[in-house]
Amino acid sequence: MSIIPSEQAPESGELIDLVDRYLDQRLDEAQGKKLETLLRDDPQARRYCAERIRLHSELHSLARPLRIEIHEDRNLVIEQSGGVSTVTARQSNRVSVAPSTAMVQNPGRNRLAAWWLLLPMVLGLALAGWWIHSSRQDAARQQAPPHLIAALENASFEAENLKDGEIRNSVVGWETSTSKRHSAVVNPGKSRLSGGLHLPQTEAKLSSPQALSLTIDRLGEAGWVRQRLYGETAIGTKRLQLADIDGRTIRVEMNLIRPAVEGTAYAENDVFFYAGIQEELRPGRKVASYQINTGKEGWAQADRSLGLNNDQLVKVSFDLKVEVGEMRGDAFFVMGIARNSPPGGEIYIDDVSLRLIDR
Amino acid sequence: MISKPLHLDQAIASELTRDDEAKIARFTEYLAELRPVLSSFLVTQTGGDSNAAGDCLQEVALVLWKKHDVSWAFEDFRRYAFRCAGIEARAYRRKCHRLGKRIVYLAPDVIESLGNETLELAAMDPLPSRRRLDALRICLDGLDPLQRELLDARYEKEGVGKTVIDIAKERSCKIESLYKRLERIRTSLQGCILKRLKELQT
Repeated sequence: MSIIPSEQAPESGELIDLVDRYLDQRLDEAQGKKLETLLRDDPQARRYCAERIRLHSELHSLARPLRIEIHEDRNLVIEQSGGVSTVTARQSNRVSVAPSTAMVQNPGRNRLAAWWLLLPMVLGLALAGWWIHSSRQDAARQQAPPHLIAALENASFEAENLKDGEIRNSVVGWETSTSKRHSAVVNPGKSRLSGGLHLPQTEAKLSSPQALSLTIDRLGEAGWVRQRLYGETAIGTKRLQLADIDGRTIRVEMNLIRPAVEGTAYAENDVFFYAGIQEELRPGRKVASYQINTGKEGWAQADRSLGLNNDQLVKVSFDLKVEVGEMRGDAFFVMGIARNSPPGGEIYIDDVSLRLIDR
Repeated sequence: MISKPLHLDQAIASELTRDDEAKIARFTEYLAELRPVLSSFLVTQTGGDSNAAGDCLQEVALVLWKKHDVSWAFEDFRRYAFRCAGIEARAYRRKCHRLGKRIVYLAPDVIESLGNETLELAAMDPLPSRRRLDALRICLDGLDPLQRELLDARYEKEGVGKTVIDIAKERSCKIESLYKRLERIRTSLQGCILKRLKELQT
């Protein structure tokens, strides 16, 4: 048997042209019909097309080597009975295979263990269980290809699709974490149990049935909320890694309003607001951030001062330029009140829109 | 889910177990071998769109990782991979249809026969896929710089380096003529690969 899989038959220029147009996505309807007829009627044409596709895939393989990224969470539950313990492990995985930015040199078996960098294992023995976060390959350290991500999607926001690449969110909750004492979803326009609107001047300007309220107390404890980011790919959503959005810009739009906290010592209510992209695990460093001084007082770190009056609804837009550096892990969008804000302040946020730009 | 007795003083491994390593080694070996033909198959099922095929491959790999077992022989892995690929490709086509995205649709019977042809082609090939890739690498090294630049523009990662359009502007030529050149380069590469493989045979 020949090791040469197939000898190349001379093909017509038309077939070659049509197949290459097909592979370069330059085929119009009429050409598509012509190719279809050729492929249906002529086994030789089918074989040629299959060979051309194989070459095309191989060229892609060389240009975009295989990259496999595995994230693994294990949840171990240990139960003790009669001196013998039983451990139950639940495991969930996420694997992504994508081209890396560099050529892969056929990694050998002995390198496999080195590929996997075990994340810090957190073992907390309680009645309930142990948590272990683990693993991933060295290859996963390489940047993920940005072309995979066409849009951001945040499933736990109340989302309304506007157009390709854009999701508008009314804040109704959050997936991951928040400082609960200082973050809440409020229902503007709804009477409180005690009767009357909570902050009538402010709420009259918010058309949404839900808005996010962030506050800061006199001890400097401030509200914040963060959400896991998802990306929309051609065939569904993908949990985003920081590396997926490295070098990209995320345009954020949102409505802000500072209520007049009347009758308190903090009626001035100049809060400092920040938003950013944050790593999942501690220390929760930001790979992009934007800081807004909402009021008149200065804030040295602010990227922008709005000079708002209380109850003045404003739509703000800013860009988060993501520079991941050495940081790895899942990507989160975070926003909150800076802890050096004047205490007692409150801010409402709604219609948060995240859009991935500069593909 | 696994459940086994464990003494509380038993150390919980903080490194990969041998089973983990074996699983990873098997998985990467099988997937690397299958990737070219799996990609080819997905290209036939996604209207010739390599990027869509790449996205589908990602999902296929996810399912394979979750489902595959170390006891699987390569043939088990291969069969399962193509079954997943078929499902993913159908899901992609349904999604395109739902979103009104235009893809170059060939008739379902043609898509099926073309997909089968890619599988037959791979089945007839006794060589590991890396041998063909090695031959292709040698052939690529033999291209002149202008040919290589054009090929890189077509196959390199999007957003990196020049595009075919950039080259057309730079060389003041029509995009159509560049695609014609690409066609000739591909044809010469096909011939070159066969020649290299023949050399290996002798």
